[in-house]
Amino acid sequence: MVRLEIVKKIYEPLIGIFGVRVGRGMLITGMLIVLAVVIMAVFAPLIAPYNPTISAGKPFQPPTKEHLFGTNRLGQDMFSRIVYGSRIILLVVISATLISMSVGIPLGLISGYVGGKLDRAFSMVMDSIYAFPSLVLAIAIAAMLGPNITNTALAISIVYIPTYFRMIRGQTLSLKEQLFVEAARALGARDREIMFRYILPNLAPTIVVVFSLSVADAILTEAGLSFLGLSVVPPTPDWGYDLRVGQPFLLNGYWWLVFFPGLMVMLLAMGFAFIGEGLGERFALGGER
Amino acid sequence: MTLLRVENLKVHYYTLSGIVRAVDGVSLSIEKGEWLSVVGESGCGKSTLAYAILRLVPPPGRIVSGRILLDGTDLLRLGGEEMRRVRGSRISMVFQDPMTSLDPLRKIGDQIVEAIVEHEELDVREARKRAEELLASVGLTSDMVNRYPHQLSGGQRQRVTIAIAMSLNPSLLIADEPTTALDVIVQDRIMDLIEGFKAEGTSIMLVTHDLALAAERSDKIAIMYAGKIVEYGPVDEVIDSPMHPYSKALLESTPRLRGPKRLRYIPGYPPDLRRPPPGCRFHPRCEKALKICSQKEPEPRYLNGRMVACWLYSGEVG
Ligand SMILES: Nc1ncnc2c1ncn2[C@@H]1O[C@H](COP(=O)(O)OP(=O)(O)O)[C@@H](O)[C@H]1O
Ligand SMILES: [Mg+2]
Repeated sequence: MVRLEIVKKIYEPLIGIFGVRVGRGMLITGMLIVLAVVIMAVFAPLIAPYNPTISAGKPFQPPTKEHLFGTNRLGQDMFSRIVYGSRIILLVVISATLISMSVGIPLGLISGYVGGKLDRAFSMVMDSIYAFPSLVLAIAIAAMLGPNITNTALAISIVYIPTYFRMIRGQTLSLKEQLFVEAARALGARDREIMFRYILPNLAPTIVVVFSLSVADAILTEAGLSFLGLSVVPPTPDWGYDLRVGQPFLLNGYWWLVFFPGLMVMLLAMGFAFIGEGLGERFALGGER
Repeated sequence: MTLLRVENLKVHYYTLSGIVRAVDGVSLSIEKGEWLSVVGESGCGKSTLAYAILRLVPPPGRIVSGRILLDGTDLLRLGGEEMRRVRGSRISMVFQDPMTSLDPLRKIGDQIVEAIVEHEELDVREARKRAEELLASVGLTSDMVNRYPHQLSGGQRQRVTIAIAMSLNPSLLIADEPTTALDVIVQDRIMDLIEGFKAEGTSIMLVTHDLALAAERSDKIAIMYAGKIVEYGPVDEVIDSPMHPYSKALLESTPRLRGPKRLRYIPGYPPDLRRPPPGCRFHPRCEKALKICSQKEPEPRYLNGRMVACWLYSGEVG
C-alpha cells in the first residue's frame, strides 16, 4: 500500500506537534468523511437534483446555483453525477475488500498456524502477487476479464488478498506462540478451534485497521481503473470515469470537470486511511501494516 | 500402581546452530496419587520434558525416541485424535505465567465451559454449573465467571487455570513452574490447592527450579541436569542424604533447606546442550570428579527405589 505513504507524510509531522491526540482527531475526521459519503450514496435520489445519466442543461456550464459543480460535455449535472458516483465506488470497493478478506484471512490463518511446506507454498504465491504494484496488477486482471463492475471488483479483490494474508499470517505466527494458545492445546482443543476461536478473535483489531487502509488504497485503484476505461460503462456515473472524460477539457479551462471527481476520490481515500491510522494508533499496532 | 512411566525419552531441538539435546534419555515413573517434582536449573530441559509428555513439543523440537506409557499405553503410538483426547481429560497442564495463559478476550466462565464441552457431551447450562463448582473448588467465588482475565490478580488467574486444568478430572496434572511468577504467600496457597487435588487421587508432576518448594510437598523428587535425570528417589531420602554431587550442591545453594549453614553456590555454568561435555555432563563443575567422569557416561544405578547416575557410586550401589 505504497500510496498511503502520502497520508503518513501528512500525519506523522502532526503527531510530532500535537502528540497522540492526532490519532483521535484523525479517527473522527475520517469517520465524518466516510459517513458523509455513505449518506450521499444511500440517499442519492433525495440529494441529487437531476438524473445523472441525462442532460440537465447546457453543456460546460461552470458551477452555478442550479448546477453546483457545473455541467459536463453532455450537459449532465456534475453534482448529481458525483452523488450517484459514490454508490458505484463504495459498492465496488467494499465488495472487493470483503472478497479479499474472506480469502486472505483464512489462508493467512491456516498458513501461519500450520506452517511448514504449506506455509512456504502459500507465502510464495502471495508474495509474488504482492510484488506487483497494485494498480498495474489490477489493470492487467481487469483488462483480461473485460470492463464491467463485477470484474473490476474481482480484479481489485485479487490485488488485496496478499495484504490480508501477510498481515494475518504474521500475527498468527506470534499469537500461536502465546501461552493461552499453548494452554488450549494442552486441554485438547482441536486445531480448527484454536485457529478460529482463539486466534482469530484476537486478530480483530488488526483486521479492522487493515480493512480501512486497504479500502483507502482500493478507492485509488478503482478510480485508476475507471480512469483507464477498465471499469463501468457509460453513462453510469463514476468518479474515475468522469475524471478521464473531463481531463481533455482542462485545456479549455473547464476545471470543474476534474476538480470535483478528483477531490472526492482523494477525500474518500483519505477518510478511510485516517480511520485506519487512527485506529492503528489507538490499538497501538506496530510493525508492518 | 504406576500411572505414568517415561522410558529413555529423548527430545531434541533441531536448530540451525545445532541439535539441542534438551531431554536426553530420561526415565521416570509416577504412581497413582503420587506427587513427583522434577527439579533443576533453568535450561536443563524440564519444560521440554513436560511438553513432551503431552506430545506438544514446539518445532523445531522433536521426540526422537523413548516411550511414554500412560496406564500401559504408549502415548507416542497414539493417533493425533486419540492423543488430543488424552490432553485435558487424562493429562492436563498448568503453565508458568498465569498472565498470558488465559485468552484475554473471553470471560473466565466461557473459557472453562469451552474446556469442558471440548471433551464431554454436556449442554452449556450444565457446563456452566460445573464451571461455577470448579471455581468454588479452587477457592474463587462463582461471580468470577463473568470476569475477564485482566480483572483478576495473578494468583486468581492461576487458580482459574488450575480450575480449567482440573475441569475434566485428569489422572495427571503437570504444573510447569506454576508459582514462579507469584509472590510467596500466593505461591503457598496455590500449592495447597494442588495438594488438595492430590488428596483426591490426582497424580502431580511439579516442574520447578526451586528445590525448597519441591521438598515441601512431593513424594518423590527427580533432580535433572543438562537433559538427564541424575538422581531420583523419595523426597526425604534425597533431601536428607543426597547422593549425586549435583544434588548436594543444589541443596547447599538452597537457603530454606540449608538453614543457618553457610550458603554455597555451584561454580561454573550448565553446559551448552548442543555440545554437552563427554562423560558425565556435570563433571566440569564437580568437586569430586574422577578421571572416568570425563570419559564415560555413568549408568544409572538403582537401589531401594532410589536412582543415581554417578561414578562415585558405581561400586557401592546396585
Ligand atoms: N523452541 C526451542 N528451540 C530451540 N531450543 C529450545 C527451544 N525450547 C527450548 N530450547 C532449549 O532446550 C533446552 C531446555 O529448555 P527448557 O525445556 O525450556 O528448560 P527449562 O524448562 O528447564 O528451563 C534449553 O537449552 C533451551 O535453550
Ligand atoms: Mg521451563
